[in-house]
Amino acid sequence: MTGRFSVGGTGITFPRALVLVVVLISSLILQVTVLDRLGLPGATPDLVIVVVIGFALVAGPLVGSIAGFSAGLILDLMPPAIGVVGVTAAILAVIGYFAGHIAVDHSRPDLLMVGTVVGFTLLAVVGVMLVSAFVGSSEIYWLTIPKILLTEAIYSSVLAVGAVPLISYLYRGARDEVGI
Amino acid sequence: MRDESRARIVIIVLLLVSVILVMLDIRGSAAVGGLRAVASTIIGPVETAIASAASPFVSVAQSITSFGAVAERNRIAAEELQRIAANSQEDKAIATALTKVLKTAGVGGYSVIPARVVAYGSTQNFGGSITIDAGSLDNIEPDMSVITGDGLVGRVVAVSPTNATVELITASKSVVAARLADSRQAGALSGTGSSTQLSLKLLDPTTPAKEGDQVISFGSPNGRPFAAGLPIGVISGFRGEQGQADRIILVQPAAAMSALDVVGVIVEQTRTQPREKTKPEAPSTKDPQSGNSATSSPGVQQ
Repeated sequence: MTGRFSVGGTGITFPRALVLVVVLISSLILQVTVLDRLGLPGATPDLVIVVVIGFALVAGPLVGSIAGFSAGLILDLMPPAIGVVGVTAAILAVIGYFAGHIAVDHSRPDLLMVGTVVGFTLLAVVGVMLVSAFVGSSEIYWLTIPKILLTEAIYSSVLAVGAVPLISYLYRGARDEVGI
Repeated sequence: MRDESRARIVIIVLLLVSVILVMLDIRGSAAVGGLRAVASTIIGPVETAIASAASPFVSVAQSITSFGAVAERNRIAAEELQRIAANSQEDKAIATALTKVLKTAGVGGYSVIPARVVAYGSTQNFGGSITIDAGSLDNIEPDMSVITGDGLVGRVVAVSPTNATVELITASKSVVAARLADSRQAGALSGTGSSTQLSLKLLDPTTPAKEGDQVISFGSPNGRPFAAGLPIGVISGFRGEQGQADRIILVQPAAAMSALDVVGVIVEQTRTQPREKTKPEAPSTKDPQSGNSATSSPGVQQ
């Protein structure tokens, strides 16, 4: 009964690719200009990761991994990124690939869908943290990590409720066109 | 199933590309540097535009999130809303912040270029970096110090024509040479990834230090990457006992690192500190060692 199986084929048509590009770019810009500057307690709400997982749930592992790779690469390149280029791209591609194999109802915010999104978001955040810790100094204040994970879980569940059904609606709605 | 195998091939290719990018970037490849430059040239101005549009919203949120008490939050939020209503008042706040920046820069007679923060790196990568809305067109170059009215914030690590990226002192890979303001003892101040905590290791761990002591920047040659004598923060705690070789002193940064807005980039400092040739008084006794031979002009002392 999941929406993913109603998509059919790889499901990528021109309007859908357009939806993917527009939603990804908007979320990237919102991420660094608004969400990261709010200074909320604990972690930073990670809209980009939630959007990548959303596309993976709606459109499967192929679209998920491509969306994850592109979003991660842009995050690595766009200011204020100062890390090593390619790291976030790899992590988000893997997250998109595996999230694409999960079959949940993504058209409305039910518990299973939100739980899946939160789980994959935390995996991605842990991955990013581990890599950052490796390339950074040994002076990381590890006591902040439980707080970061807990707050990230809360933020991503809120983002999932809003973003995933919207992605589902936009992506499936844009299907009636000639494929590319 | 054809779909599944296609996805598998795609993910393997993407991972290979990522690994190649990582290796190129670690080796300092010009191609990756070029990609970065293109991305920041295109995206920087977009960030600037969106950030200024979202500024009232963000500043309300920031002032709410950077204070503890609920009553305080409400008061600040009300004040901020008033500020948004009257745009001139917003300008006044910026002017106040700028005056403070200038005061901090005045410590060393530094010239600053004012800038505003347009984007923040996220907490969870311990990266601690920001984008500001001034770049090479404003004479900003890598390795310049960035300050607020309260103290040192970080250093410029990358510059595009209209924007610059600043590595914050709270970034886990940031290390600043610092000293205690009172005892002049030097040490290495590292970021921890937390916006309220830095860790300081003194060269001489037996130095007495107490909570509330001021920490200032040690300074680098020509003031790059860090100008000398800028306030950084105050000691907020200790891990380990005095005299213990691996004693860590915890330092709370003076600047509000998670809610930065108006900052200043130090572009110039007094070229050389004003110092005059001093000639010691002629020794009254017959002590030939009392003169300083390094500063004396030849022929004056015998």
